[in-house]
Amino acid sequence: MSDIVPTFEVRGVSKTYQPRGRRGPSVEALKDVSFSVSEGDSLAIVGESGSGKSTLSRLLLALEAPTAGTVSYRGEVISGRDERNLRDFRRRVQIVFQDPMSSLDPRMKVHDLLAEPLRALKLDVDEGERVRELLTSVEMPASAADRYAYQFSGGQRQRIAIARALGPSPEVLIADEPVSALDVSVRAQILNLLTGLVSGFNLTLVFISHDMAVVRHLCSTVVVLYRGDLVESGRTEDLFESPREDYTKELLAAAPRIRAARTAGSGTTRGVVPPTV
Amino acid sequence: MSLLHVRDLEVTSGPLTLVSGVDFEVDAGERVGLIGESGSGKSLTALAIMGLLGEGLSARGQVRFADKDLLAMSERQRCELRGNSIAMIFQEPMSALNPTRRIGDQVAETLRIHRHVSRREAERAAVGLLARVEFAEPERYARMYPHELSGGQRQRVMIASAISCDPDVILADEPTTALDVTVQRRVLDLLDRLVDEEGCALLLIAHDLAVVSEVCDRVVTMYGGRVVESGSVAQIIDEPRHPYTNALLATSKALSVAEAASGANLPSIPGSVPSAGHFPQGCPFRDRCERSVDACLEIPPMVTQGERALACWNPVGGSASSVQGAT
Repeated sequence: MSDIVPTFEVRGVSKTYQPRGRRGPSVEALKDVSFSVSEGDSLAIVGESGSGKSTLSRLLLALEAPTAGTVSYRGEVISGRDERNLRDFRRRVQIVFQDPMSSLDPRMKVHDLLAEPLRALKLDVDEGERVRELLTSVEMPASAADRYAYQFSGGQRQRIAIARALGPSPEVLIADEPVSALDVSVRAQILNLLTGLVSGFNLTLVFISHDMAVVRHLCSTVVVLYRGDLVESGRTEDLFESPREDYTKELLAAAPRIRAARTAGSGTTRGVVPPTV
Repeated sequence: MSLLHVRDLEVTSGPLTLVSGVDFEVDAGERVGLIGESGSGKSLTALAIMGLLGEGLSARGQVRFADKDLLAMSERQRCELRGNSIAMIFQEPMSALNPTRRIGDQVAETLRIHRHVSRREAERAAVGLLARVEFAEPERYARMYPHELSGGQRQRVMIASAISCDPDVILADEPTTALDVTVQRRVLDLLDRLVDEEGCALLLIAHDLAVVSEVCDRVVTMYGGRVVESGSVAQIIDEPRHPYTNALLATSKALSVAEAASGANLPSIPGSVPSAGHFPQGCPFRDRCERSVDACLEIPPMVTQGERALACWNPVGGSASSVQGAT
């Protein structure tokens, strides 16, 4: 795979935040992180709060520049690039956020929510037709276009957010915890939808999550972050079946499992690595 | 004789009925999991038991605790029980704790109110309680403010406060939902151990069936403000009978950290949970249910058989008549 240009290449990336007013210690959100995402891959970035996964997503989206290292998209360095030179990149890489309550403007009709990115990127498409197509692709009726986002349930709103991200026909979808705010019964619907869209539109997926069960179901490769370090990466099944690092083992052991008799308090997971609490 | 007996509980907000006909019991020392999604009425049920329903909400029916009806009590009498014999742990410890007061004072407050101990004694006890919830330097943490703590630490403070007066029952409303996975594990293990040590009963409210199966002895499933099924964890996990419990379980089993991706679609429930007042007539799950029949236009009665109770006209694994026949 060495001579194929990866979709994303993250090389030696560090990000340090200086506290406001330069007082107190600086925060090293990411430390010398390297990995790549191949075309058509579905990569999970896994970690808990403070792991640096949100920082990493902002670097992949070129919303921030790394303190050291480079982020490349299809062989071209995008980190630190001027916004004017990112227009094409902005079309190719889209994001779905965690909470569709706050990511969709409640004063805009669904039609405008879906048309806004098309207008902003000056794409030459028939707006009405594209909006209908997008709603169909997320299994929503065309009549939804005339309503406001607040009139829909959380799951339907996440469908609208996904449709909005698909509007510019992106190559990469970055999804930041897209199902963690949803009810259990709706979560499966949205995951099924995402799976279908990723294969139907040949999307490359970057999925940011702390939920190992969802990651195992949806992603083919995994990157595990812990306090800014990339601690382990690999094929999903290898990593779940034989995790090498203590932190990955703890993450997997900590996830609750359905059992017919209660088992908590066995203390199996305590004291493996320093608690993040 | 059960410790806590909720009987025909109804919670209303003006013309809207949010919870109705809720019946369940918690025995002394027993751990019961109350399962359901947002809008199922599980948190309202807990708040009604605590007497903490917000303005405009009212509860009817009975909540019997140690043979007294809590709903018939005066606010003064309820205050004496609240935080004392019945304690509650909330989902968001940041909003449950007072941001302007030190951790030690807040844990000590419960003791000072209910045990009338001196300030100094209460402070000493608070430090001991913080040590019991695994703070390595309890004296130092007692002097801190909530904003200086992580989410997991704050939830441990809530647990310290809840066990301070040796309660008979702890109500925990999604106590680990807002926490990271490894922190959730630690808090669950801690709660599990302390409930054991205290010998108190636990009513654990959760949307995650896996969490409940690990911690509880019994499960009560709610949907649309009603109890639809209850039974022992083994019964519910091995042989769910209500189509809603069955569907939740199928999703949870397929979407498990222990389960490799099969490539197939996950089992899911069509539609979404309606908002209050928009549930269908009859069985609240009727319009999302793949087993619904004409009879579902009527609310199914709760049929009890031994440890199990079920409200469904067409349950999984055979008709309801087999259950009804046994009663």
